[in-house]
Amino acid sequence: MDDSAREEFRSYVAARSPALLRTAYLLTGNRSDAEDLLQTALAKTYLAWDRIRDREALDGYVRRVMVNTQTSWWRRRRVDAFTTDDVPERPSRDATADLDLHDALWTALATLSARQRAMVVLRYYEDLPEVETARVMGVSVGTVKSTTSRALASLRDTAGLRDDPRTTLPTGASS
Amino acid sequence: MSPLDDELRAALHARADVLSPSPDPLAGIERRARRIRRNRTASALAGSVLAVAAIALAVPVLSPTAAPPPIGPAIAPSTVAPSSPYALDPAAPWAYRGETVPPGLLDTARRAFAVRHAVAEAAVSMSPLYGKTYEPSALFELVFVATIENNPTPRWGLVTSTPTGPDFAVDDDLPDPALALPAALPGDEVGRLLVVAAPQAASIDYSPDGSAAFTPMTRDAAGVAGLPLEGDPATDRFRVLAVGGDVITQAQAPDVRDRSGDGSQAGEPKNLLVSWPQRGVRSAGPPDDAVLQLFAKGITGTADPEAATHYRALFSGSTDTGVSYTFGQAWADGGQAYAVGLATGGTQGDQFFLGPITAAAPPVLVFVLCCAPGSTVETLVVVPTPGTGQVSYDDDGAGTFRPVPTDPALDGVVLIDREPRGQAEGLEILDGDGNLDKPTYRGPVFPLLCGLKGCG
Repeated sequence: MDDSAREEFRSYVAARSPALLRTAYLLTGNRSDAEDLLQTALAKTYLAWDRIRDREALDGYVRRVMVNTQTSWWRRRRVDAFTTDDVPERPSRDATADLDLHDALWTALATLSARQRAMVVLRYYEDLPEVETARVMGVSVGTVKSTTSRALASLRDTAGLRDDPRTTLPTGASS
Repeated sequence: MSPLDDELRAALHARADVLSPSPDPLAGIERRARRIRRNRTASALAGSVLAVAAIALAVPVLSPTAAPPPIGPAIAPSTVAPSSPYALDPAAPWAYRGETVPPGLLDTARRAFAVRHAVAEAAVSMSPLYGKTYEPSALFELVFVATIENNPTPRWGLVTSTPTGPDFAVDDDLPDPALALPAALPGDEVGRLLVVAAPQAASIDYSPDGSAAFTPMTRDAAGVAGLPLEGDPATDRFRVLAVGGDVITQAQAPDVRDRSGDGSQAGEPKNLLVSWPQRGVRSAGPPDDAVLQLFAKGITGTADPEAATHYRALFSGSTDTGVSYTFGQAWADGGQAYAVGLATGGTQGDQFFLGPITAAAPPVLVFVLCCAPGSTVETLVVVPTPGTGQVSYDDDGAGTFRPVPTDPALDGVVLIDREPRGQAEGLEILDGDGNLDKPTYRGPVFPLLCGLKGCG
């Protein structure tokens, strides 16, 4: 990479890393993993810098690398993740009543697969439209809709929120 | 927007927005990049002495004449080419191994891949890597690598040629580096694991539950091996070895359960005519959104209102009188494909046609285009299945079919002027050999124009 490209890359990192770190945090669930994920994604972007023609699409590229890397790490860790005694149990309806709703959703988010979690983060934190989410995830818009729908249903179930008035509409209403 | 959507959004922002930025985000990135590059070259450094010997000793089961050339736009060579000689570079993929690819399969698979990824067919490049007929089903399975223009992440997959069209058992991002492509597939009685690696790989081994010794998998071709998957493969591992025993890569075996759950692509309908090319000039016709808006209204009550809708044009263009048209198939996720058409700019305003659910292998699709300004003459748009021959028209049902002149620029599509609401007319379409005794279609036009909203 020549000096001007290196300077261009540094400017991009300085400008965008705070926002990208927040996305990485939501993808991983903890700060340490988030910094590791972002550094890895930016390092891969650094290696591919000369090949990325469309600079306007850089954020999408880095998000894509983060999602793919996190999915890969999640799959490798999945075998160990549930062989300990610390498997988080589904909160009972009574326990949920005592938890702040946001905490319940955050806890439930950790039980989603990496791809479901990524879809939720892209759609509900990054507020990406379905078309852009599909582009980042490398899937069709239909898959974005169906995967997001399943993820929300899972969150509702896991957090025990199915009949919670804070997350459901009154009967007869439509969203 | 539901209350859960709002609470979820708020929960995510509450967690993330308070995160303080890293003090020096650049620190370590270049060092980490160097480490990633070193890891990618580690195999090359370890095996560099053996690489030449490996290529010389490997038994080549390469069939350069068994596979069609890659299809699609040329893939620009990587400026950061994989350093390992065992890694797959989409710009210069592994040589094809296996049986001869059935004619037309690669082209059809590419079209279906474009539909799956909602991109133009011309933007997809696809190269075959390995192909073989799976004997219990007698279906041909093809492993491929593909790139999409302006998308930095190549993909790989396995597509099966079924009677109703290509079926993608695998469609994933290409790993980086791509040292092995493992696929967990359904089998006759139990699942199967197929691993495709570089042709110069010496062996591919398997270890059930990750703790037992590795044993060689059944070799299908140079660098390709498979075996039945029994029990729960969640902790099983495979590895690819170079000549001399160096480990090229080792990984957890993919789980068959991964295929059917989260992240899977939305399935195209089985009656989608992916083997039919897109003819005419797509850019001259109305946009997909316009078609889908009317299609969604047309199928209200017969489909899930939340399901995504899709359109694949089969013939599009515009007339010199300013009418812009497109005809093709539209479908909602989970549903079957309908023949549809939209024409804009004519004397009667926008005309939308919602046709029948397309048969799995129709001989012809027919649409009506009306009308040039000042005229009541309609145009019958006849889109025959590819490879058919002469189209003839009987305008009054008397049984006299007259050949219709063809325009080579229309690539087999035929345009016939007809009287409005003519119901006695007939069509005859001969096969590609011109056999009068066995036409691909000979019969009335009227039933071909019946859809949800009536006929004609």
